Amino acid sequence: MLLNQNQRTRTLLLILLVPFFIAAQDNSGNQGQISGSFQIDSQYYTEDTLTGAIPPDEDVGINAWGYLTYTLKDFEVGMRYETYSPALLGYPASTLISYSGSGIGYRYAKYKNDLLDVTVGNFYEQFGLGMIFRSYEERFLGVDNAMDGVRLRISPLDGVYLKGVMGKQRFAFDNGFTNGPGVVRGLDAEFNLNEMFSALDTSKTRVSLGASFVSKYERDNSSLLQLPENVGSYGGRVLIQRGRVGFVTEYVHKENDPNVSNRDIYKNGNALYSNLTYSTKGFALNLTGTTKDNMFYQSSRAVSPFDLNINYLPALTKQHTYNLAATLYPYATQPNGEIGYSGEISYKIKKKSKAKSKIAQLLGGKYGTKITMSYTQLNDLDTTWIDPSQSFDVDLDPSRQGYEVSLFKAGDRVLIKDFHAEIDKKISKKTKIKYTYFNFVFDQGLIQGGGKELPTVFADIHVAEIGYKVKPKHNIRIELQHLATKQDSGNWFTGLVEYTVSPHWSFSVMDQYNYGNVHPNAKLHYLIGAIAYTRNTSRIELRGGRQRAGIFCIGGVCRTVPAATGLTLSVTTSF
Amino acid sequence: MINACDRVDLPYDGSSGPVTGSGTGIPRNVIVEDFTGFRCVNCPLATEALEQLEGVYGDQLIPVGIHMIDFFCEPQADPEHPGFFLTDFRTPDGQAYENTFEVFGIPVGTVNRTEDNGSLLIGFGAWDGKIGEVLSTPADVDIKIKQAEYNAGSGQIDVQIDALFDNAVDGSHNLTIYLLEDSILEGQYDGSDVLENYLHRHVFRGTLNSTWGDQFFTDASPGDSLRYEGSFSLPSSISSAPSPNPDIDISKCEIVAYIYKSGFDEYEIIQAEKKHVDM
Repeated sequence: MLLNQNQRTRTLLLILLVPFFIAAQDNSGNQGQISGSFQIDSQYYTEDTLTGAIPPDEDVGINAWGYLTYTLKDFEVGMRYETYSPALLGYPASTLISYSGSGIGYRYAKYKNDLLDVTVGNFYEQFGLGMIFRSYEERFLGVDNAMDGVRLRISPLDGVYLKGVMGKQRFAFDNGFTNGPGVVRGLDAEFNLNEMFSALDTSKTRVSLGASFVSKYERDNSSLLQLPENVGSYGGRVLIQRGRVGFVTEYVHKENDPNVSNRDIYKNGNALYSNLTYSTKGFALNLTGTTKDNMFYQSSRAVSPFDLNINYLPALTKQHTYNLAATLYPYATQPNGEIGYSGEISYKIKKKSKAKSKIAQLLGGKYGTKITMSYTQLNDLDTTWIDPSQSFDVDLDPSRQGYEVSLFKAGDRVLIKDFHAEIDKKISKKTKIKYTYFNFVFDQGLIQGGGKELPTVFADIHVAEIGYKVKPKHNIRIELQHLATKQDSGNWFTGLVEYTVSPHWSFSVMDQYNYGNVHPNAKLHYLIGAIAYTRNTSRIELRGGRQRAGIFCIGGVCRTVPAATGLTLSVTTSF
Repeated sequence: MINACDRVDLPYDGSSGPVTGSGTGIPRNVIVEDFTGFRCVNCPLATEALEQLEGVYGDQLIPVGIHMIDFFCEPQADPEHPGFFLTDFRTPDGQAYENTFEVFGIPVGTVNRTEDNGSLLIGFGAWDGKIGEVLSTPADVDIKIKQAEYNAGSGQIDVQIDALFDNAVDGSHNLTIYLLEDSILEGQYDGSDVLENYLHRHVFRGTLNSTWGDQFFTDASPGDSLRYEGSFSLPSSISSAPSPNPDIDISKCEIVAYIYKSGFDEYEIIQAEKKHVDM
């Protein structure tokens, strides 16, 4: 009997659920354990002529997930049921595919003992830092490249950890997940030297070495080019930890992989990432450097940059949390080429500091002060096209290598400069204040794909935050944020007031005001109010207001996130 | 596993390529709708890919450039490029396709509105393979555009289309007629460049017989023949001013007629044909 994808999914679901109903007990009477989590995000949309927000035909969008696992000794099964009826506007991230309907989005069975750990069905996995293989879910963004196949983890000797994976990747969702066309195969080995050799067992220096190999298969169906059907990649890594110092570095190499994001060139790809950390009481230092070239690696050559990614390139820029710093000019890693570094330092001035400096004494005060600073800069790589017209003239570039590049030579184009400094101080038993300054130089043309006509954005952001304990369990927090720029949509102001009654209630109001927009009609307030109730592991939040439209781009594709005005209900719980 | 790397030194040196044409039956034509915009920096890559594919598939490939998403195609005066980026290539029909097919990012397109891995929207890198797949089977119906003639007096286009069936075709099917204008010079963002005199090919200017066309037949049998004819006004987004019409150059226009399965949430095109508009 031949089964289609949905029938296969339902059949597998029945097999997976059998233990719940008939075998939820072993011979010794152990009934196993069920755990789970649920999340429902629902939005009611209304028309907003000022922002151009248009409700979908259904007026309401809903995304919901229910995740259940059942564990009995060494055996585990799990599944995630998903509903998109219809999906929230702008979800998922992909520009190619949509999520619709209800069905199984993820299911697996796993068995684990001292020697091995085997999984069939869906799984998330990562080799090293993930630069040639990372299967993961980023639900907030609408990215999910779960593997569907088999995974084996073996530890044959102390300190030796081997992993093997094979399968297809999740692509779209239509009453159940659908997979992309390509097959991904991978092997990873990690050697923890301290665990392997007893002589090193007590050494203060801990060392791990790792190596990975990954290959993807996709049929060559081109009428124009001879495409490699198997594209391999490999890499090695070193992790060292000694006392307060940690160091990790990984280098990866990818063989010829013509794809839509690199304009079908046959050049190899490379990436290097290194990170050094030092921390002691009251002081932490974090230094990172990276370079990457031609490192889009997807199990289909022709999907959007959001889809079917086999690898993950760690971001260098700091993930800011304040509204204006986080949402207006977020940097997207440029897999086709970027080089840069970042550093972050944090220092806590002790309370009652005895330092000679009067400023230090003042900052020390009764409660101490924490100061954090970070700086990141990324440039493009110094690149020379073999055929300057980039028209892929067969005679000029018969092997279609595209360009020549040095992995360690920065180009002139600054993609991002991101400086931030923060001072965080408790000034009394009831009051905490925090001041943060950000300075961005942001190549909007390249990152958001608008072309060179879009000027580089220079932005200064100041944020003042105060937290005050009104009475026991009652706290109020106020944020005042200001962004100044002469480019793009001009100056912004954001104000936020949040009142919390621990442990259950939270009330907040936030207004983003684009008062510096040169277009009078665009000088809009984006006001959002929210009420949240939390009890144990359950949280219910209702928020309403206006969200601005945005555009964000990864690699060569930009997508618009439509403006939306309405009410959102979010519910999460777990057990 | 260790051998799972294919090294290709000379990519142009032969291709395993798609299988096209079965040698018997009615040759199928394929419409590629290239969803594009003149302020979309990556869109020329898709258009170039389509032009290369025209060289491979010849007249069996019918390219259509549909401009959509306001951010990328809203006319806006640009002081650095006076006289450019002012043409409004948007159409109500194109907007309806944008909404129905949920196009949030471009470049992207459709290939005979067939699905690829469950998606109607197909990235331009996959057009080649999908076109090859679609063309690998003969069509059940042949379309001949007998007449596509602009009547200067009435300002209408007279159209006559015949369909002849080789095989049974079940279900409800519509016939839609597109009006395209070829070779329009306008601005175009292209990577980090802004081109002023970019040649926009096969630009969709609207439909002649409504966004989703007219119901054409339900259940056809082998040997059936159907005729569709009428005189159609220019799409509402184009003025009906007499020649020379400031909005459109009729001498560069072509019509594309296609039959598609028109059940609920069905859009697959089963056959298409293109003809230059006679003056």
